[in-house]
Amino acid sequence: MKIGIVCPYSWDVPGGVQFHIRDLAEHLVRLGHEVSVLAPADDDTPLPPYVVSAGRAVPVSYNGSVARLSFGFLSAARVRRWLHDGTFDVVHIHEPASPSLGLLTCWAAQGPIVATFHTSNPRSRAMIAAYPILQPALEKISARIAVSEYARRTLVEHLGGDAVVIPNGVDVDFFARAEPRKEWQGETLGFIGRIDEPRKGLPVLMRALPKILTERPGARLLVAGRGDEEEAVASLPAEMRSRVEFLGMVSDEDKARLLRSVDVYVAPNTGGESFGIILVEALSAGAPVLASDLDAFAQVLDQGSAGELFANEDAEALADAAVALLGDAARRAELSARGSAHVRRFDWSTVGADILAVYETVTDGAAAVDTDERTGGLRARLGL
Amino acid sequence: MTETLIWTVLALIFIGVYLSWTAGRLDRLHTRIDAARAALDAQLLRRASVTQELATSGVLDPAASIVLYEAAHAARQAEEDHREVAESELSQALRAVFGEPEQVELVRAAPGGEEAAGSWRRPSAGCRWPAASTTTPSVRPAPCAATARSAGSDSQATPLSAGLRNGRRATRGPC
Repeated sequence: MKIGIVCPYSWDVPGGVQFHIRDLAEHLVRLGHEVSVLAPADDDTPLPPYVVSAGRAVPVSYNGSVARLSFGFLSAARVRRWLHDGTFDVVHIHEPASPSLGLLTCWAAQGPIVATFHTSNPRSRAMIAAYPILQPALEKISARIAVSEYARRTLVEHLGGDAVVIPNGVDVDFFARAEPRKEWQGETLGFIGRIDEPRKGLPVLMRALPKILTERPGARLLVAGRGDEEEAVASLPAEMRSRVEFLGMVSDEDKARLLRSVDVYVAPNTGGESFGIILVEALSAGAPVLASDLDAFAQVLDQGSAGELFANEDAEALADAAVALLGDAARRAELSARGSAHVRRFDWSTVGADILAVYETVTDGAAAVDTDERTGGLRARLGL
Repeated sequence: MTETLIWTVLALIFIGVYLSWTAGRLDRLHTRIDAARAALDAQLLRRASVTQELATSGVLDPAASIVLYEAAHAARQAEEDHREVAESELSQALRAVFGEPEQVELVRAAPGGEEAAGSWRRPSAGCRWPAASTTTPSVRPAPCAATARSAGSDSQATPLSAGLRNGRRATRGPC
């Protein structure tokens, strides 16, 4: 099958959507499909052979933060050329509601279009007003995928229509086969995420830590991620600060080894998560997971059967659960075994097959994707 | 004795005339600031309206339309404190979309496009006119003007243009 995938965000900036597209493309290539990914990228970025650059993304303020997006005449022309040269059987767009390449492709193409919705942003007033602009493009989508039940609900509420839920994929074996490291083992708690982003929940964990360390004096916290380390431990009593180790940014291999080594992986995120790929990675590595009870996390952890949940932002509850887990090796082994079995549904072999099934449904009996010639202003509006 | 008196009276008259002249000058400058500010406000509002209209017209691609629409919406709804930033962001969005000459040609070709193009250019001129107003602060600190506050109120003496020029986002401001 000839598959075109559109990435809305800069290829050179690491991010969840970019990684998902990279892994999906590589998985599809391994299965023998012809894949081309259209993504914004700087001219000097080295790109994998399957990526086509759509030029540099422009930083503009959008939805309260500065985002690097691709829009405008030149980008639209590049999208048309890519569609025209590619003669794809199906085009897979990511984040079609953000004003970037995804939306442009949706507008410029006709034929089988599959769209994946990743985020679950609360709808802004400006967004409601801008909906008539989006609608004609979004109407062309033949099948919609949401990455989680949570993302699906937001999609249904904001844009109407329904979507199938296909979770983000993870290479489970990459994590399951990683080699544990001696110095990261022995009553260790793990945390991975931006240190200075309160949404990732490190402050909650820091509030819980004194109680954990009082009950389990041998325990240690390993933190991997970017941010100000001094500031992060500022709330801790001085004698406890040595129990927290900062590993900085870690490579994918070290991340897998860290998850393999820790006794408990803690995800105290306080909100804004639509999926929680890090939990899936922790489960893949067989780490017992203790997470806040966000909708998205409860979904990934199968409502608490594949990992323990605590009340969101409740440091007391987090401390109690962590102490109980650290002291109960049997429970940890049970969680690890159940997590490893549960996580298979997030493996690329399962997720990739689901996505391919969606492709097959929309391409069945349909002509190949082509450029839509009716996009010229007034005529398109009148549907001529 | 008489001579000293005459000199004192003359000096007093001179100071009086100087004060009155300075006050008059300050008053005229304040009037100019108000007029320039009103003109700039009208131009910025008009720019935002035209941008919104263009974004919903279907002339541009939907991605550019949404970027422009959101920026124009934010600029129109902004509170006085955030206005400067919101207008700067609208300028940035307009520059990002119309940095491509082909895009401008496309808009010009549409009915009414020529007028629309004009309404984006005007605010940048509008920012420059109140340049005279930047001389007001140099008048204000003069000791006599400070003691004889007769014309204008000082709260008005921070022109929007100064904020746009010297503020945090000066390089990206509407000017």
